[in-house]
Amino acid sequence: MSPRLAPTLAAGAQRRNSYLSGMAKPVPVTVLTGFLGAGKTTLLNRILSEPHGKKYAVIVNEFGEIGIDNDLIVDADEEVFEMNNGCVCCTVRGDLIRIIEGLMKRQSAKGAFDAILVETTGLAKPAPVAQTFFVDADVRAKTSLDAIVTVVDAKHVAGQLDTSEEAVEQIAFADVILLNKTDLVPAADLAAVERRIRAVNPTARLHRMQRGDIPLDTILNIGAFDLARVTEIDPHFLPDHDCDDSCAHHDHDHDNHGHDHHDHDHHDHDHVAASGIASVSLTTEKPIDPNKLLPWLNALTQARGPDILRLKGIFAFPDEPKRFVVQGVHMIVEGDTQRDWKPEEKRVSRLVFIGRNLDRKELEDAFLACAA
Amino acid sequence: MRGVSARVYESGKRLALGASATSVHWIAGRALFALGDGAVLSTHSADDNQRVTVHDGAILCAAPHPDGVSLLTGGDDGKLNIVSANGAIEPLFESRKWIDHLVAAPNTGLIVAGIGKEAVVFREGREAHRFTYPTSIGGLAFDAKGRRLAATHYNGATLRYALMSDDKGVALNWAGSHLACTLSPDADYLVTAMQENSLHGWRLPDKTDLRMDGYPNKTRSFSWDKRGRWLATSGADSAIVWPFTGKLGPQGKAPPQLIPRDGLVTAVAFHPTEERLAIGYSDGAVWLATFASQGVDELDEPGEGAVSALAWSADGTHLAVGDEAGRGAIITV
Repeated sequence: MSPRLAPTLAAGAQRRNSYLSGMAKPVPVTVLTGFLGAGKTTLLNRILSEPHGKKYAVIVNEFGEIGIDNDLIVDADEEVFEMNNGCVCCTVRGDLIRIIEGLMKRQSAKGAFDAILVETTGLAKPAPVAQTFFVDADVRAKTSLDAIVTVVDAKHVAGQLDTSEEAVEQIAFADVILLNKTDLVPAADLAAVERRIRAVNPTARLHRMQRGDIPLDTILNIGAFDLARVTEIDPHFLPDHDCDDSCAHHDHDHDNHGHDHHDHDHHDHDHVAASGIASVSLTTEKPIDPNKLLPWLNALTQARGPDILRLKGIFAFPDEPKRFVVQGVHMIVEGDTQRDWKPEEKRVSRLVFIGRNLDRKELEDAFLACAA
Repeated sequence: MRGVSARVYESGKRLALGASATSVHWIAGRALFALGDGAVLSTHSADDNQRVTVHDGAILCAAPHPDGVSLLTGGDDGKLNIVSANGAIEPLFESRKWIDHLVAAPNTGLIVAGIGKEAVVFREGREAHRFTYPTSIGGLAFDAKGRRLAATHYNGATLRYALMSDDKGVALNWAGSHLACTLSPDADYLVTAMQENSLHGWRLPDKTDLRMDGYPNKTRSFSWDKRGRWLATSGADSAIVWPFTGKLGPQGKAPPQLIPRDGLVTAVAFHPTEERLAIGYSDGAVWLATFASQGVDELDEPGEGAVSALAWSADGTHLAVGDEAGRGAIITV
């Protein structure tokens, strides 16, 4: 009985290991990624210096310009380890596991800190960091990954998207994208940059900022991986979503501004980044049969795990008053029923993939074949 | 099976540690708890507790000093200190990085600290030399003679003679991340805990690989019985005890699984002289398994945190227990 990492998608989903979590509440972890010079350190210092009364443990890759009294700064080595379980995409940060274990000794009964911030190097891929919080049972029991926040330099990101796979992955994995240094870029260029970001990642929350001036509640305590807190997976599906210039999706077909997003063919076909990373968004109003959907998603993520960076879905099952939500990172997929569908809410099932070599037609056909 | 029947109430002493227990060690007849808030709490069944702050931060690791009268502690403040049983503190070393691991050998007087990718060897109170490993050290272990040093890392382990500063070492390769480790008392086996919730072993004379898997969680705690015939391990719902007898060791043998409970075994400690095993669980309970009689005794009841520290006094009359929620006990057995 060799323990294996299997996709954990199942009705009822995987629960936290109650044996390990004890009484303490899991500590939220925010991962801060972004290219060198994008403004991670400025943002980090801002988070730490805000008068929020909270104490953070900050895991950085180099001691340096950070350092606020009261907070705990830990130096990391970014050691990416492959899990020896036959899953090629299953990598974790070995140093992070060790550091979190150590931090939890300090945490003890009293609670030495309220949250953990992990800063990655500019060239780091986000997957090993994210997967650490799902793969390691002890880390999983004691912490909860809150969100991956990616800081992007508005002026240089276009070039980085063309040449750097890491830059694309950092955007692809993000739950929150902070477009920094927007004062250095003309408005028209900014809209183009946002379109390119949206082509890679249509589900992240995108905010403009200058010198890290962003309200902290837009980046902390987001609950992006918390199935109970998944609201909408694409802001453009929101009925009351108010489109303005900051909306980076209006590059085509924009005659009908009534937002009839029915067969809204997202822009996964244009501006595909150099790395081949793009997104596919699918919707249907037909109820979905869980007995078709779950085996399909399981098989798909098993077979295509390395190509699928993130996936998110909200599904309406027949005779099920609750929404079923799914989120995944590579081969790690979690699903669970969530809140009730509201009376006024359209029971529309949605599924978004972000990844490489995604064949929209193939995914759409397979998804629609899951109709009840 | 809980409540006032637990032995701690009949013949024990309950302790409020004030922080999570990293480990506990018996030194000069006293139990010294190394704690997550940087303190060491020293106590005995009969007298008062003494609590001293040794580190600014958490104690990440501790080991009895080879002098037999003090405790070595390594902290996330980068300091390596020596604490005597009466609470006196003496600094030994300071690093910019966390002191992750500590081992010491009474026979040779050597002390080794694992700091990131380096193992720093101390001899006669000062740094003698350092060994560097390909990745961060996951665990350190000395053999019973205090000569051979095993260090685990990503994709294997390395064995060196700790005294030889230029020892290139014997590389033992196995894909994956290796963490806590232990050498059998006869130094014939090295066993490592892997990130993938299994144990890997090497029979050292011929470097044969052994694989011991099926654990639902990582193994953190190892304990050999006095004669080196049994290796008890944590990481499952019972204490998994591998037989190391005969030419082949545990190969092809089913290990006894002692006292399964609803939870995980998080700490194991063999009695110093008898075939009796103290077992600590994730719910804070501690049980005692006696091999000969197949007896099962509840020593302590469930609490609020996993048992993280477990040690017998040298004469085997007392068991010291500490958990992650800061509950401790000295139990007379």
